[in-house]
Amino acid sequence: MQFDEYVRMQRPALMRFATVLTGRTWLAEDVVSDVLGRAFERWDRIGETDQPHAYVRRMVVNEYLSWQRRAKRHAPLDDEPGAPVPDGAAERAERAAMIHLLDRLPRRQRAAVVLRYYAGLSDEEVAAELGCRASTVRSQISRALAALRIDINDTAGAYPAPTVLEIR
Amino acid sequence: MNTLRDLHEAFHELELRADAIQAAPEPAIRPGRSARRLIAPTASVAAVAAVALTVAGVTVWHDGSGSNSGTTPAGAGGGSQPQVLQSQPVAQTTTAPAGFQPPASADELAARARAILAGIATITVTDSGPNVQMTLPSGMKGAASAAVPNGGDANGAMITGTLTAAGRTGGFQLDVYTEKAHGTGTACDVPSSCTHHVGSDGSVLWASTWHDATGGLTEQVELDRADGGVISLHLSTERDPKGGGPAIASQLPLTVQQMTDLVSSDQW
Repeated sequence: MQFDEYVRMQRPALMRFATVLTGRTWLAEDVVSDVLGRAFERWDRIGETDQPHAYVRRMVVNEYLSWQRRAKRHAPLDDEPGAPVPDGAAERAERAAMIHLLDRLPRRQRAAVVLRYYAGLSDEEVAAELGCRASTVRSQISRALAALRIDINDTAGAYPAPTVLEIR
Repeated sequence: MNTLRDLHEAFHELELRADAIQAAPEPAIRPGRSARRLIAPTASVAAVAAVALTVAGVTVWHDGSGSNSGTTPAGAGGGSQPQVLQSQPVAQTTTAPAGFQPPASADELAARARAILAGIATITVTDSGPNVQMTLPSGMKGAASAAVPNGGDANGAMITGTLTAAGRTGGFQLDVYTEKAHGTGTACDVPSSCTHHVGSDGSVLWASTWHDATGGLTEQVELDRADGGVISLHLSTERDPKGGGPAIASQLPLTVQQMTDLVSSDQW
């Protein structure tokens, strides 16, 4: 796959993933643009891998983990999770509250939760992404769910198992 | 109490935000980090003339003005004997000769750190893992890398937790690993506050300090050794040295010089 074709097909998915991961669109744009810039420089090798998109997604995760501090320093207030909800609707307020809780997670916990419940990876796959043991992932996710006040046993109205994104 | 459905709805809300931003004209793809690193910040230009003097067994880093470059020796509790580094006129990409043996596990890394910090500080490790394996011979720090599960072929290890010294506790992250070739640009997370000093053997000592929006203070010191070893220490007044979190101290538990002594110890 050529780099141009890859960007055209997968950039929207990458932006979604990065926004869910970082919680901020401006930072997602920054991370994705930076990662794609570096991926372009090495595309002759990345493009030959079995799953170039999984590879690039991993670059996004690594970039996010290293850029988190910069995000805190330069976060525009109007893109902050937890900002006042314009229409005051209860559902939007609840989503904003959950996004705010996500924003308070330590970055590795957040990455673990996003990879597990958004990207649909197994604990072992998340461990491979984050460079730690599966037991560590389970521990991080457990702590994260507690911080998010999520009762994993409450399946009332729950969505089905997370769909594995096309970027895998 | 929330449910997983609430979590997925939050994800969906964030997806909508991503879709909305993409409706705007597509931003340009910027040059990679390696390219941006070639643009030396002013501080780095000043640091080109840096010299390292050894005074009574303690390495003191000086900038071209002759004053200490923000790394005032700690005085008491200087720690282990640092290696002697002298200046080079130009920062170069250094190809690593074989030699540096990174810790094979997080436990070994913690043991080495504790030995070096003996009598100076204590550490409590709360998380650990193998470091990322550089899979592309790009010579770029943080460039396309793949995490190595379960220590596999990892080229080092990392630990994170809290470090206590002189009655103060801060969050820390310590990464020790090898690189086939060091990058040509900054190793600092915040280039605007970055200084670097080049040793005669090609080693490069990086230092950076910054305040978060919440007031947290973080210091990063990294030594890129000529033998390919990389020892990187983040220390913060916040719980998470790289990701914020609650403040747990008003001052850093170690001085920059003590951090420098740690990363440049010959006990690695």
